[in-house]
Amino acid sequence: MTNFSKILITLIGVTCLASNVSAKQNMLFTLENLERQRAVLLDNLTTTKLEAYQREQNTNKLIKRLVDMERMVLRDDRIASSNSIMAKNAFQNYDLTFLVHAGSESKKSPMAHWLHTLKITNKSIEKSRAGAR
Amino acid sequence: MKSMTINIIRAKTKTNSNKYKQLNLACSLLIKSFSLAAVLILSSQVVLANDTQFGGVSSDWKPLASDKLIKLPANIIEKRIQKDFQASAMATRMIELDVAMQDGVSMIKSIIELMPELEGQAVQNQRFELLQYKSDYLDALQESHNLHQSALEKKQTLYKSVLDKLRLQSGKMNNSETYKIQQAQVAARQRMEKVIEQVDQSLMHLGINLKMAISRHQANQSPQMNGIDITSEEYLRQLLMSVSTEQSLLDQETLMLSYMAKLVALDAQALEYEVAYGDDTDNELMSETNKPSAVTTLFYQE
Repeated sequence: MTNFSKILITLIGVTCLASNVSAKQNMLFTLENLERQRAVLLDNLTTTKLEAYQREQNTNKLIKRLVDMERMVLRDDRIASSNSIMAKNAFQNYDLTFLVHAGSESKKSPMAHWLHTLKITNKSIEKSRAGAR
Repeated sequence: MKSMTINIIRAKTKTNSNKYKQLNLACSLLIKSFSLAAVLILSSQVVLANDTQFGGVSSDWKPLASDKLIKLPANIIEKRIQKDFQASAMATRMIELDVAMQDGVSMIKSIIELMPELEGQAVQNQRFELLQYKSDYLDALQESHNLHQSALEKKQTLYKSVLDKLRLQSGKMNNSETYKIQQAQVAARQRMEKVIEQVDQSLMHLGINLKMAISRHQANQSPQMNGIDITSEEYLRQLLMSVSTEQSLLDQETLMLSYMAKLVALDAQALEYEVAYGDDTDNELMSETNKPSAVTTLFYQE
């Protein structure tokens, strides 16, 4: 009985610890989701496996998701209290993080806005060479 | 013989004076020991506020949690404090006391070893000497103890001070960073809110159109009062008011009806009298206008 109670107390302690750790990790949950979705959008742009139509379809779907995620990030107060570099960089580089809203500001599509912010033009792409870094 | 007697008396007197001296010394040692014991008991309960009581000003140590100290790594902080302490007058005094106590202990040990070999007056002298050494040892021990206690208290205060400063520093850093991120988030949110409608219109125009179609639908139109949209509650309240107005009108009509009924009854009664008693000249003289049935119309408007 004593052993059972000890095991029970230990399990409760471990659970509390785990929940505490996960709660701390979740402070950047919305931002991490946005970054993941943004990465998918950029991958959708750069991948060579898709046809133009498929690319457009996927982009439209992803943009709709991004709109919500961007708003969630901007309204999530936990992010500021996380005091992380990721959050700091995300808000400092608004044009690259919040592609849909920043693109709407500049009257461009999110992808065009991303390319414009990074100064990637047709000429620069044509001049570039493929190779290992 | 006389001189011998005098010598004996002198010797006795000397012995007596020695005894008195030793007695006095023993008494003073006893008092000292008791007072020392009392002080030791008290010192275990009460922390001495003034460390210069035993060690004097020369045995003081006044460490400070300087900014330079806080910037050092944690393990170096401890070493630095220890080094500072070792260089202080307090540590020097403690070393002196340790040396003195070691000497005292060795003397006490040697006296104790010598005691069985001695006899008579020498034994007594050695005992007093032993007591004196012990007393001195206890004095030194007490002073050393107080110095150690004082040093520990000062270290404790110093560590707390360093810790507080470290917390304050890290707290300031954290707060300022958090504040910066918070401000950046607020600025980004404001920027987003400026284009929020634009984004909604450009990306969700279909949804908006449907929403507008729903609001325009006849079945979904809100009730109107004099061309102004009103809430359902207000509309029902207006309906109730109109119903109560109609009820009042009906009540008035009911009252009129009763009056009319009464007039009809009076007409019937007049007819009855006319049939029974014939045409009365007085009655003939009565003008038509005096008949109630003829004047009812005066009491209401059609």
